[in-house]
Amino acid sequence: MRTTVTSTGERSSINESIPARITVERVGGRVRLTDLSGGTYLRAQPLGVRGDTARVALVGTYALLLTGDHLRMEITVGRGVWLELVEPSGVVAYDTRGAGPASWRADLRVGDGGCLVWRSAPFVVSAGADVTRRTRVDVAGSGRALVHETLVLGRSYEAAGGPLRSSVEGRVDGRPVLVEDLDLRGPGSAEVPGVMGGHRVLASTFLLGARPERASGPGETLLHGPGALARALAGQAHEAESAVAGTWENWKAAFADPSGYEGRAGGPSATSDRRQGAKPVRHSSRNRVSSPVANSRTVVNPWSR
Amino acid sequence: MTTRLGTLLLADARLPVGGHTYSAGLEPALADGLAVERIPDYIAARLRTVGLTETAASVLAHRAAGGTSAPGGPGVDPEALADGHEALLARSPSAPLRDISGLLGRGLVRLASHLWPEHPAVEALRNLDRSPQRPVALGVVAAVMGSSEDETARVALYDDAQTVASAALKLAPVDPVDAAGWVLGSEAVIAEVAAEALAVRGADDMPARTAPQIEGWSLEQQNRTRRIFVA
Repeated sequence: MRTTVTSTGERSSINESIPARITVERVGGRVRLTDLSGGTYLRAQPLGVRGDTARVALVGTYALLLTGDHLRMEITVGRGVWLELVEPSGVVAYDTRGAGPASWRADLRVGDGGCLVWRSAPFVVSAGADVTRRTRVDVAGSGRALVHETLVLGRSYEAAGGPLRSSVEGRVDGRPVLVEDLDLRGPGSAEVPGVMGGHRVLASTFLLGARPERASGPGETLLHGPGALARALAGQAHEAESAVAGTWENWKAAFADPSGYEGRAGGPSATSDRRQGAKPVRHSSRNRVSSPVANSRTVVNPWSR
Repeated sequence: MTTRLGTLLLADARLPVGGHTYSAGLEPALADGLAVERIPDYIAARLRTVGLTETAASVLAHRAAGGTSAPGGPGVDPEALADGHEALLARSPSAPLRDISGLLGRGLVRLASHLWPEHPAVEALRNLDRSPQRPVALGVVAAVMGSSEDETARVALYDDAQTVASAALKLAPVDPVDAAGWVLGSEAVIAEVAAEALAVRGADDMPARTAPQIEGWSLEQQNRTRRIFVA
């Protein structure tokens, strides 16, 4: 369905927002995309299944986000499944012209032994776009999530964007590992020293469910529980993204590599442990199912400072 | 209402808990080019972000320690204390900042363990971690010394502003009188943030106002060999 946009930036038909849902699970020994229902704003396009891995593209159905748009998505990765989300184009939140807010919300769930990889495309907040963005990630047991987000304040010809409020809540086995809430709603808030410090772009890569032995790249830090974060502030999206690109590659290879999931007969992948001293650290969990990447590794309690 | 002596002690840099090692991020901020005349903006930004989060953690710790209730009051809730501590850790992504907060928290634990070794709130604090995060330790110590919740919130925020101001004197050509003026000038922001922190109901509700540039600066400071402050 396509709605038209009026000059005030409102959709001519008021839609009840339907969440986009992607559920991937193992059914009868095979990985199946048991739910691929596109929502009001997104279409889920399967790109292929191989062994216990799946790739799905998220395609916007029309120009995002305008006044009154409330995009929701619910992504569920079942036990022992590896899922990559691919976004061919970014999201643009347009000037809401004081006519009411817009919101974007993703709820991501990863089951024991599962893995979600999502290098999301830039989220561009135009000047005057009143938008709330919320990402919630729940990882169970030995599951992992590797997510990248880039927030861009203002389109290329604009000096500022928003008002924006963007939050992330990451939990492992229900316990909080990363909770943050970037509040750029006040006038001039992007100029405030210590917050954005006048930068337009914030790129963040976070890993939940596993923790490297040490932070090695620029902007990397270990979280207090099983997780790590790398981030960069810059004037341009490509600068911020390239500053954490190395971290993305390293963490993906060490903690979110699909090779161990691709061939069921192939057994555990041994490709990752030797990279940059990135020895996976995981917390002991109840009811862990066997996972291709969960075998033969040191179990250390990472719930420490 | 009179201010408890304990509150004054917590606000005093002469209290031997190691606060002099900390610039509240000012040293790396100046190294990255923060202009001296923007230090008051930096103080306000801290109060509204990390200041709010940490003060809410202190308030929750104060309540978990039984508040200032007389015997027979709500008592100590070690589980609530642990939940608040964990919520604060999840809101502190920078490992070097968690480390320095633990170092300062250990100073308060040492003080409390000497003065009130048998107090159940102090015992609950010790059981959390050998080096609990400073805001949690501050809330417990304030409660044990009889400071009210409101005083605790204000002393936490005052301390943050004063830490920046006094570090500025060692890092930049600043007139000490101007620095005192910055702290006094933050009174309205402190009142606003304290009210917000006092309205927090529980650990899940704890604000998590992010300051990405402060986090980034703390990671840079960690790798510097020539520095005056640890963070």
